[in-house]
Amino acid sequence: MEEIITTDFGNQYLSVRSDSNLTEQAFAVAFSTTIAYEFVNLFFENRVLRHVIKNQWRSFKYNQEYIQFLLGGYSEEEFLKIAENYALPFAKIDNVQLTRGASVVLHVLGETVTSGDLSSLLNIDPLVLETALESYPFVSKSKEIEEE
Amino acid sequence: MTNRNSAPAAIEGSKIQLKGQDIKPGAYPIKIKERTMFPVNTYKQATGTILEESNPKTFILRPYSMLDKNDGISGKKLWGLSSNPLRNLTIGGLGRTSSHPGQDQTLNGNFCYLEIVEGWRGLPPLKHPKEELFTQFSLS
Repeated sequence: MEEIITTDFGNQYLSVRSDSNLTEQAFAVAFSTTIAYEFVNLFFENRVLRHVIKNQWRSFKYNQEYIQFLLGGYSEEEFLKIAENYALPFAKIDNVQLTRGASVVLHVLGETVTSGDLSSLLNIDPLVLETALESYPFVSKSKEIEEE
Repeated sequence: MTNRNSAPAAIEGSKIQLKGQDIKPGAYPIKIKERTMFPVNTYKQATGTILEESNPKTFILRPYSMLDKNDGISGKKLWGLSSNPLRNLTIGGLGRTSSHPGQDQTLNGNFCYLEIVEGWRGLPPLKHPKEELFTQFSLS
């Protein structure tokens, strides 16, 4: 019989799918927080980086078309039609995922970036990013320290 | 006429004058409410002023957006959207300083938007994200 075992590591939840024969092993993995974190982080980083690479590839292809337009290869009408094909709405990701996604990107880049830059990399509305990151003290968000 | 230079501040209009020293197009276009919008980033310093108000004069993107003609924002770094792609920046006109010739561009179309992502006083004195982030996440 298959069941889902959910284990709470502080605020992190790890769900392990298991059948009765594998329950013991599943628990062994679930309670090993170090292994679980490594596993979850690797999985999550992979997802974020795939998302960023896909975004950047889309940007690269769009920028080729944009440069072609600026070089006079397309008329404005032609370019607007092409740009229409590249346009995407902002992605909708929940705040926890977003904060972790931003952390992966910042970690990889190793520099402080604005919410506008992060927005380009993750295709997220900068305000949504700022709201998600607001609760974290490290955030390089747009809001300044309000002195008044 | 209101001018703001600290975040959060934004302007929305159908024509916005953007002047600065490092105006750059953003990544691929963004679809917002069936509109195709072209992102624009400015680094170093920039000022945006509404030349024409939106019609109807209501905010589309941010509830705190200023909407009146001649309302403006200025800051170190701005992020925005334009209905038309950036082209033919004017050099040596507006935004000029003793050390930089200045760049300016008029964003126009049905809807244009600019907001401050880093104001004049800069960002808060942060701990380095690279060190801080994973501490946060691995301990939470």
